[in-house]
Amino acid sequence: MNSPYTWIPVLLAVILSAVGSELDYDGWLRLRVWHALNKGPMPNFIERGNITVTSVRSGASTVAQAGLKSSELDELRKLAEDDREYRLKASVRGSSGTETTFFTSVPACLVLGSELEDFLTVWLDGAAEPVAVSLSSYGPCSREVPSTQMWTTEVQVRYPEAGPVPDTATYIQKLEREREARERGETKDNRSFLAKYWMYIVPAVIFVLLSSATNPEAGGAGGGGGGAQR
Amino acid sequence: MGPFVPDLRGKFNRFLSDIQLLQYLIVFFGLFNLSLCLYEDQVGKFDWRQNYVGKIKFASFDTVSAAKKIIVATEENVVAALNLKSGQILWRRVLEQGCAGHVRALGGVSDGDLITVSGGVPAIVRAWDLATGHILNEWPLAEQNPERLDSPLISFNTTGLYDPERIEDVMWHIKDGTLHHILPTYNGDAHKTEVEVTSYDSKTGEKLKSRKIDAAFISKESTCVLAVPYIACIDQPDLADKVYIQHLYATDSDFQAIPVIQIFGSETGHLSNLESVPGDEPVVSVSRDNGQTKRIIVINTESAPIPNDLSKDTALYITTADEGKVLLQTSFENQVANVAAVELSTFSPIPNLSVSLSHNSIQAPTIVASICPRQPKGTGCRHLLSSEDHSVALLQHSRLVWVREEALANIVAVEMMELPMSDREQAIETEFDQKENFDVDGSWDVVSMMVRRICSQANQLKGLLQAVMGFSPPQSTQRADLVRDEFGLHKMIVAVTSAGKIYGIESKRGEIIWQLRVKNITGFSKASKKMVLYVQRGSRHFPHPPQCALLAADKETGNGVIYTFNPMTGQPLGEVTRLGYKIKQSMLLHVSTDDFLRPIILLDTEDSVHAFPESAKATAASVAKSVYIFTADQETGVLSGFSLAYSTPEELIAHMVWQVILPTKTQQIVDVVSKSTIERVHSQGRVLGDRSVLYKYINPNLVAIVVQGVGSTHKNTLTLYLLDVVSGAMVFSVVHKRVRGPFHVVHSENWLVYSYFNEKSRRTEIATLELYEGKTQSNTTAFSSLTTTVLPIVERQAFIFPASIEFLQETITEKGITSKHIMVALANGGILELPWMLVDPRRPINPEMREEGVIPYMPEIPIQMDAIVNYNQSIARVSGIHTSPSGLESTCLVFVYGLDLFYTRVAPSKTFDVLKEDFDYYLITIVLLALTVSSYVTKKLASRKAQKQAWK
Repeated sequence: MNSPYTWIPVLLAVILSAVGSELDYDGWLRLRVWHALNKGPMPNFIERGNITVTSVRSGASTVAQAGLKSSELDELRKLAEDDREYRLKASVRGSSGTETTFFTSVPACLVLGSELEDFLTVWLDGAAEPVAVSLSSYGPCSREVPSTQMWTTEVQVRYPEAGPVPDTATYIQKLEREREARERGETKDNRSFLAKYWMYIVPAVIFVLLSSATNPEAGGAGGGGGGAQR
Repeated sequence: MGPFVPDLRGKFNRFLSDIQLLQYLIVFFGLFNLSLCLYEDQVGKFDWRQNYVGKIKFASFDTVSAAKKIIVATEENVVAALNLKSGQILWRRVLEQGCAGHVRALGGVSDGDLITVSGGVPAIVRAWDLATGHILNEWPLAEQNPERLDSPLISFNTTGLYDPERIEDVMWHIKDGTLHHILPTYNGDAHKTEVEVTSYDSKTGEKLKSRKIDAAFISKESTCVLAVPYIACIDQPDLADKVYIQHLYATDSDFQAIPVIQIFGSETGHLSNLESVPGDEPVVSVSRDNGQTKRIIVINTESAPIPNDLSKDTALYITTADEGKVLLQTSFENQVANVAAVELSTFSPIPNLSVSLSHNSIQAPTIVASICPRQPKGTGCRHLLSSEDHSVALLQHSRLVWVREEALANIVAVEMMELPMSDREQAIETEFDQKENFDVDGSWDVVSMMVRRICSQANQLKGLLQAVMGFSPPQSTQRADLVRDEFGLHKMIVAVTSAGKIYGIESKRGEIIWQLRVKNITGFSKASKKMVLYVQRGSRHFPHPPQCALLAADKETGNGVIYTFNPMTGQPLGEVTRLGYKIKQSMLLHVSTDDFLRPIILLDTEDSVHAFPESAKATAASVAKSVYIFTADQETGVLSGFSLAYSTPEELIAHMVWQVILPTKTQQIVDVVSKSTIERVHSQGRVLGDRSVLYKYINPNLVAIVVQGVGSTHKNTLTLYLLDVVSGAMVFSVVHKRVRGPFHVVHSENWLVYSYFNEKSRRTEIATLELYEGKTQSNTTAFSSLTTTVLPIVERQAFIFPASIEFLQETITEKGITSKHIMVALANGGILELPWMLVDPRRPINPEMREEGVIPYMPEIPIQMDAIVNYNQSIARVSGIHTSPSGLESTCLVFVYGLDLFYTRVAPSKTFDVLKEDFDYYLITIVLLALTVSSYVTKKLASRKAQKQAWK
């Protein structure tokens, strides 16, 4: 450790909110990170540090990276002044041994505004191979030189969530419950005959009444009708 | 008693007639009910359908049946019969999609039965009824593998059969009810090369006989063609110097070898391009020196080359007329097609059978079928022409009878455009076009405005007088009905086809208004044939003409091609621009130049950026800070994002801002789905049961990447990545196991709907993802991908869909107020309008947690028959659905394309902004008038009463 840089080991156990983690086995990832502080379309990458994700499942990681020199901070400030982005290159080596290089960037002013605090998210696919590394910083946007020269990096590991499946079981259970409830209801039904079948009785009564009212002979015979006499 | 009997009889008679009447009434009302169910008066009112068959592969005139027709088999795996007089489809049968349905041979029409051979290994032989198109017989042709004895290494799925690739080498011949399967075999040993001819009964599939003919002249590199009953071969093209001919049925005959000198009269050069000339005689054509000169050989026991040079672009056909064989040579020059007929043996021209014609739809035609029946007036021929642009035409007695635009069976890009204003409205528009009248300080040039106003009003008066006096109106350049209507329901459909032909189709009846053809273009990738159509300028910027740009690839070099045209008239706006680079990505810029033209930004394979038109570079550079482009490479799995921020007005520069790599070892990108650029989201959130608002995650830069697993372990997985293509940040990913394609994805607003086939449960499923920001909104005015770092909350749900899906698309309306429906193209030919509410992932399983307007969860989505928008008009093989907003917020225009075209309009939230057709205008007028009158009367009365009270 005779380098002039100060090494900051940051250990962060990121509790993954992912439901139904699909990874069958645990693995590790080794990230080598470079960044570009120059302006211009072609990035000029210089080394920033190394990150080791010791457990893909839990997301536990070790971050080892150098702080920024004041000249580099100045370059970063210049980038922010021109609304340029701070570019990052990450080379990820997983337990399978293949190495993949990703590019990501974030507006330089957000990095300054958040006092060099950034989030590095590694996305894995279903086979635990890395597919993306993305850098983000909450900001706010600032063009001032920050008070610190140290990076505060939080590493997150994310993998695909299990896709939804049609929930037939719950639905069938629900139907069963409803059926049972109905059956139970039927056995308990001890309402009176009239209370149960009033909807059939009432129209029948009305029908009888109507037909008797319109039939003059019936009305006459009953003697109570009156008005229909000719 | 006497008078009572007839009375009784009369009553009985009356009773009988009453019963009859009752019966009639029952039948009548029965009919009435039936017609009520169909709503037959609405059929074809808002919709139309057109049927197509595709590019002709085989054709044959049916002269045997009572109704004369043409039997065709096409590249789209369709067998159909066309009416001889009108070209309409009499019947059409759509075979299996892809390789399994490729029609390999068609024959037997002259014997009164139609036999087709289709598919791969095993091939399927079908016998069809000529009149109705019903299948009479079907049997698979499981031919034993002749190479099997020599090679023990044969995979399991082809055991007993030959290699599936060899199906391309098989030649088929159908004659007199017998199907001959002809396959050259080579075992590496030159002396053992044979041609195997197996004959089957074409109806029953019974193997009649099989024989092998020695053909030592055939090697692996040879090209062989069938010129029944002979087989003709040349060695490796461009090295061959002899044409070998062997009779297939006479086993004892020896082969003939015809050297170059005998064909072309000189020793030099090599033979290439051996082709069989279709028609009634065994004739082959062969060319020399890369097709510079072409000659034909008439094959018989003493084959004779004919010493006449033919042009290399001529298409040949041999027909029989007046018992003699006639060679028809079809050539195409300067938009004129010529069919020159010559006597085959003497090469003397027959002028009365020669035709020359020019028609917009006939481009480089070839004769696919020809027949010259003898008639009282003399011999006249009917030719069925198939053009390079896929159109089909029938020529009868040198007259064009009909043309079918079969290119429309293969549409690759569609835009729906608003029609221009009418001439009168345009004149008014010019009057108010005060662009040049604005001074720097904003003052108006009063005098010139006055003059202009008086001029235009004088013109209007003149027009009115002319109309009143009955003069013919001045000739207009546009058709009277092709103008913008009140509600924007009448549109122009611009359809680009894979043949490079562009059509302008009017949307009311589906009439083709104009057509254009761009030569030598093809889709960007071989698999998808995709071309890109951009609307650079709409029809609202009079006097500038509307402009569309078509982006495609050059057929030979693969470089980019841009073609601009006026989508209303079909006039080209400038030449075809052939670019010197391959287009990797393109985008239409959101800003426009001074003449309202939206420039196109192109990214080439070297990652340098170009603007089209070139002059728009400065406009592009002015907004370059906020312009991002992303690319996805299917082969390498690399997705990259570029920013144009370093651009200057002189040069556009792209620099990479992010890169994501999906390892190709385990997965392959199937589709990249972004949102519609014209989409608007009206509601920013969703009101929950407790009256709080859940804000939607509406990120216009969000793109869904559909990835299919490859390899043995990850096969049958579907992974969906949601990627922000501006910042390069992954937002969400989801994996489905044990599922397979076809995958269809709809991405809109804050949700995704996708369908796949579940292998485990063996059913089609639809899954939905919905993204929410949460209870607070990060930025209430505008969304920025760069500053929003919070990951969205993802709601998800899956449903069982009880049908197979061919395509999914969402409806779109002008302001996004109307609820969204999903148009689902079903494999059975129906187009289902599925309310999004039914696939809402927040449908609660627990009914107590109900929110407003959310239906309780049910695992299966029911298909309601009244939600099928095309009722009984089935649409075969849908390849895409284009939706477009109309001028009415409630209405969305839907154009379905595939083998058939279908157009209709749908109103997802019912037509809330249109009065019903049976709206009672009179009643409301009378009520209004009565109310007004009564209010006046009561006002009078009230004032009188007030006056009286004042006097009291």
